[in-house]
Order: sequence, then C-alpha cells, then structure tokens
Amino acid sequence: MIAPYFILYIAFGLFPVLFSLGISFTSWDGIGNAAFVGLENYKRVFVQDEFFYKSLWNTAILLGISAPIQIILGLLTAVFLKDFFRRMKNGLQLINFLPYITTPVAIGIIFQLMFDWKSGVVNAVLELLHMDSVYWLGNAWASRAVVIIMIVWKNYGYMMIMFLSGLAAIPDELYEAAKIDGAKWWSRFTRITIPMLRPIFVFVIITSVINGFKLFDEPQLLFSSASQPIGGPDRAVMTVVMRYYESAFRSFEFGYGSALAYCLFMVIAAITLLLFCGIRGRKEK
Amino acid sequence: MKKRILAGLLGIVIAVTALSGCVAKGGGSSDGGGEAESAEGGGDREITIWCWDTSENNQNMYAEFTKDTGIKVNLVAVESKDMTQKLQTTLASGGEMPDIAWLEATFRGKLLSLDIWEDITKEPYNFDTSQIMDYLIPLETSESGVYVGPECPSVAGMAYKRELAKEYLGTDDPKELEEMLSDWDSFIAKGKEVAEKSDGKVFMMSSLGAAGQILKGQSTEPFIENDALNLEESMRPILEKLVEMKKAGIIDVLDFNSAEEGASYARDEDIFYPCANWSLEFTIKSNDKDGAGRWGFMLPPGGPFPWGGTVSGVPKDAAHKEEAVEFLKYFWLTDKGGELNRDYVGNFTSYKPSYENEDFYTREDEFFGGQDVLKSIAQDVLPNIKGVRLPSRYDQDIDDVYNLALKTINASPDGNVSVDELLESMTKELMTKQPDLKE
Repeated sequence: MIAPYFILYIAFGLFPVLFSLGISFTSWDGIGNAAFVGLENYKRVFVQDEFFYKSLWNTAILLGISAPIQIILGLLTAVFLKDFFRRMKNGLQLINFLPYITTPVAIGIIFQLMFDWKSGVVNAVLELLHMDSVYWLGNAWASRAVVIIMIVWKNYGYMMIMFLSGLAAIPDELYEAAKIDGAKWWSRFTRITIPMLRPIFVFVIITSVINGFKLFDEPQLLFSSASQPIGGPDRAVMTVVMRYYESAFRSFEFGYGSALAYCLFMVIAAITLLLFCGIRGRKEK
Repeated sequence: MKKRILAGLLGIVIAVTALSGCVAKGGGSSDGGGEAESAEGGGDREITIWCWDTSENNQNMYAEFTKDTGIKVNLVAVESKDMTQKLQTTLASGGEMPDIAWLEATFRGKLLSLDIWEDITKEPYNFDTSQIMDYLIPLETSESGVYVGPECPSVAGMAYKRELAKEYLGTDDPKELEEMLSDWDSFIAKGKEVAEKSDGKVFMMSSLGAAGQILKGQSTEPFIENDALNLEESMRPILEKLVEMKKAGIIDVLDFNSAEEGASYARDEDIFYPCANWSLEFTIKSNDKDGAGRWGFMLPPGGPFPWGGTVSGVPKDAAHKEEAVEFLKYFWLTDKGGELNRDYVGNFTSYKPSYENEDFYTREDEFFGGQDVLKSIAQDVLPNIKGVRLPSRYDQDIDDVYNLALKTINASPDGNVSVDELLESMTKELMTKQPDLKE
C-alpha cells in the first residue's frame, strides 16, 4: 500500500532534487542544450557573486531579529490566553492565528499601502505625534523593519498554537503545588512553564531558522510592483531565495540558479547541524 | 498477492492522474495555467493565442476575423510577466505551444533572444514588412535577425489636469502649454514657479519614474553595446536630469507604477503624467473614473517617445503556423484590421497606408474636454518619434538597476545624490549579475 507514496515521491521529490543537482553543473537557459561547466557555477557563487553574500547577510539579519520576536510574542500570547483569558480563549486564538492563513499577496498589498511614504496610515500616525514621516520602502533599514513586522505579524499566531499545544501537556498539578508553596505567576512561568516547554522551543527555533532561510514571500511581495527594484532599496531585503529566483526565472540561468539553491541547502544544513549540536550539548550538561 | 497488485494499480492510477497535468492536451483549447476562451464563430481551423487581454472587446474583435476567414481563435490568459516561464516550461515538457504568443516590451529583449521564433517574412508565410511602420521593425526583430511578428505602435505624449494647468501655468490649451514647456529646462523652471505658488503642495509630475520614462524613451543611445556597458553615454544624461528635478523639488515622492501613484490621478496634487496611446483607457480613465473633462493631452518637453509595445510571435513549434500568420496579416496588414483594432480595443495599426487617410484616427474625447486625442497621436505623436532603443536581452537587468537608482534619488530629501556614484553602483551591479559583460 505504500507504492503510491513512493511513486509520487520519486516523481515530485527525488527526481527534481537529482535533476537540479545535475543541471547545477551546466549552463542552461531552459530551452537550448545544457553545456557541462563542471564546478564553474559553484565557483561563481562563492567567488564572484556579491549578491549571494549580501542576500545571505540580509537573510541572517531578518531571521536574527524576527525569529526571537515572533517566538517570544507567540509564547506570551499563549501563556496569557491560558492564564488570563480562559473565557475568550477560542475567539482570541482565532484572531491571533488569522494572519498566518491570510493570502500572502493580500498581505503584500496591505503593507505597501500602510507603509506608503505619502499617504500610508503609519506615517499619518507619526505625523499626528509630530514626528517626521519615513520613506519606509525607500530606505534600507526602514524596509527591513517593514519586512520584519510582516514576518512577525504573520507567524506569531503559528508560534502561539505550538506553545498552546505544549502548555496543554503540562499537568495542572505542578502549578497548583507551586501556588500552595507561595510561587507567584512570574516564578511559575520561569520555573515551570519555560522548562516544560523545552521540546516546543527546540522545534520552533529549528523550524524558524529553516523557514527563515527560505524567506521569499514577504520581501518579494512588498516590492512586487512593476517599477520596484528586486530586493528593495540598496537590495536590503534581497534574500537568498530571491537571488535564486531572480537567476533561474528572470535571467533564465537555470544551471546557476540550481547551484545557488544547493549552496543555500548547504548553509541551512550546516546551521541546523550546529543548532542540533548546541541543543544536544546543553542537554548532556 | 492481491494486495500487492491492488497497491501497484493504485500507484499507477495516482501517478498517471498526477502526471497528466504536466502533459499537453492534443487539440484542446486550454493549456493549463490560464482561462481558455473562444471567440465565437464557426470553422474547422483554429489557432491558440497566449495573451493577457481576454476581454469581451478583444473576443468580439477576433470573432470578426473568424467570420471572415473561418479560423477560430482560442484565447488563453497568461500574464505578461509569466509568459517566458510558461513558454519555457511548455518547451521543456514537450507540451503544446501556442500558435501566437504576446511578448511585452519589458520582457521582449530576453524573449526575442530565444531561438524559438519563426521568421514570418520567409516562405511560406511572406509577411510583407514593407507595409509596416519603419520604426517598429527593429523592435520586432531578434538580435540574430529573425523578424518575429508585428505589434501595434505604442507611443506616448503627456496628459495633464486642465484645472491645475490653468491655475498654476495660466492656460489649459495644449498648444500653449507645448510652447511654454518645449524643453526640460523650461519645464524645471516652470515647476519651480508652481512649487512656489502652491507652497510646495502641487508638483509637475507624480514620480521620478514618470519623468524618467519620458527621458528614457526620448533617447536612443543603447545601454549596452556589443556586450559592453554604455552607461556613461546613455544613462548619465537621464540621471543628471532626474537629480536636477529632485533638487528643484518639482516632482512628487510617489513610487512609479505604485497603487498610490494610481490614486494620484484622481487627486489635485500632480499636474503632468506620461501618456501612451494605451494609457488613455487603461491608466487615466480607469484611475480617474469621475475625471471626464478634467484632462488634456500634449507633446512633452523634448518631444513624443515610444513607450511599451507587444509583439505577436509565432513559435517554431506551433501547430498552426500558417493560420497564425494569416491572422497577423489580417490584423496588421489591412485597413480592415486597423479599423477593428481602433474600434474594438482602441489600438493603433502598424499598417502604414492607413495613416495616409487623415480621418482614419479621429474622435473627440469628452474625457479630454472634447480634444481629439486619437488624431493628435496619429498626426503629431507618431510621425515625430525620432527613434527607438533596440531591445536587448539585458533589458530587465538594466531596468532593475535603474529602478534602484530611482529609489536612491527619491530617498534623498534634497536631491543631494552623486550621479558618478549611481553610475558606479549600476556598473558594479550589472557586472555581478552578468559576468560576461564588459565595462
């Protein structure tokens, strides 16, 4: 009965992986014949392509800032819902989760309008507070901030759901015993909740890092209109996947695009391995 | 044993069902990824067109062709930006190619460089390019010399808001405005007066990109020549003029082609906009729905310019190439085709003889205060196009670094930007993107 799975896996999983590995050693525009170039594409990625390093740096910044915020926000929301909003829990849970299931294109357009320099609602608020308006989508760090807000807004609801499932598995007796011993909310949170949620933390940190390196939708959609440069001002939000997409599907360098994809794979694999080692090391201690 | 056979069969069924989505349909009217529609009419022969306009007007226009020739037309909706990918994946998978594909200006250079197009001037098609407007032919020919297919002329002047022009420039008459703003220096000088009069609230144009579109269109100097960058000659004058306008504070801060710029058409803050023949319906009237009588049309400082354009290419692997060329001849090499284009979709014809009749394009447009914009485009704009910049496979890369430069200029509050640094950055970016280019 597992034959269908294997057939589909070979057709849509294994074959594309091996095929793209094969073409990463060629120069191919997707139409003519592919010419074998050996490791030339990989050499270009590491030696010549400044965009690769820039996109890696951008991805690291966006990930490094957004991941902790969304995890902390998700955790606090989950804990507050469990401890203080029990009656409205289901409704609030839904409201917080909605951004995660909203169409990315709609999010892109909404954020474009909200952060418009001249008539965006964010600048209108800043002006009400007698502050200078900001060219959000025209300055490097401002546009990074917008992307970070988009990522956090979209993903913290998912984190909340993960933490809620973890919280449900913590026995109430632990909290009751702590209360009898006179522990305040903060002590219970730091001494019981956080340690007991360790497996959830491991999961959300690793998936956040992997998903962070695959970041594409948010920055791409924010600068998706016809006359916007790829990756925004000063290429400040160009991620590795955007660089790969540009090479393969705009410049039609399928060979080079595949090499970029494999380089990204190597980076993700290395970082995930480091994370695993770090977590295992702490566990052994 | 029975279980194994059942599992095997189930696997095959699932795989065949799933993979069938990747295989082309034989003789079908749809090719996936887009909505297929058929122009009404009879006939055994049919052609499939991949295009982004499957509107009722377009279908009705093609129905006239079907009525006259008996060839049915299937329209498959494909976005202009998705066309290349769609063609590539279809070729790679051995799927059914369209008989005609629309190739939009932004992607044209790259698309024409692909060796997949039929030269329709050759036997047995014999498409007669001597009847096509001369300036269009280089735009429709690949770098290797293949004439891919015709397109409607896409040329532009400048639209303006009459009330604002009258209030701040003293007149809303197109001829007087053309005289007043005959070159960019006078445009900038008048812009400063407008800024002063309006206390910095009214601008000559909505975005640097809008002004840049005109400037880019007015020059023919190639950005890349023989695989070597030519930015000093081609890009420097454009950037210098844009920086000058930014310093003068005469251009609004909107991003070109953004939703906000679209909304600005209905507001009273920006006076002038670049305006192609297609902008009348698709940009101005759609963005300023209550703007009847508010608009005027004139020649911009420095003269009219080409803007946009969509080539109709016939792929080598198309199944009905002769019918496709018959279609192209019908719409682009006859007066009847020109009339249908004019009446159904508001396009201009590339057929030279139609312009000999001065009354071929004439219609008073109430939206433009009764001005005969069609006649103005046919008689004032088209004959005065000085030349075109040839399409290049690097067009998208050039556009991208140019858009980045626009952002940098726009982001500087006082226009204090060094053009030398912009050019240096553009060169560096282009060399990284395309290592084969020479400085």
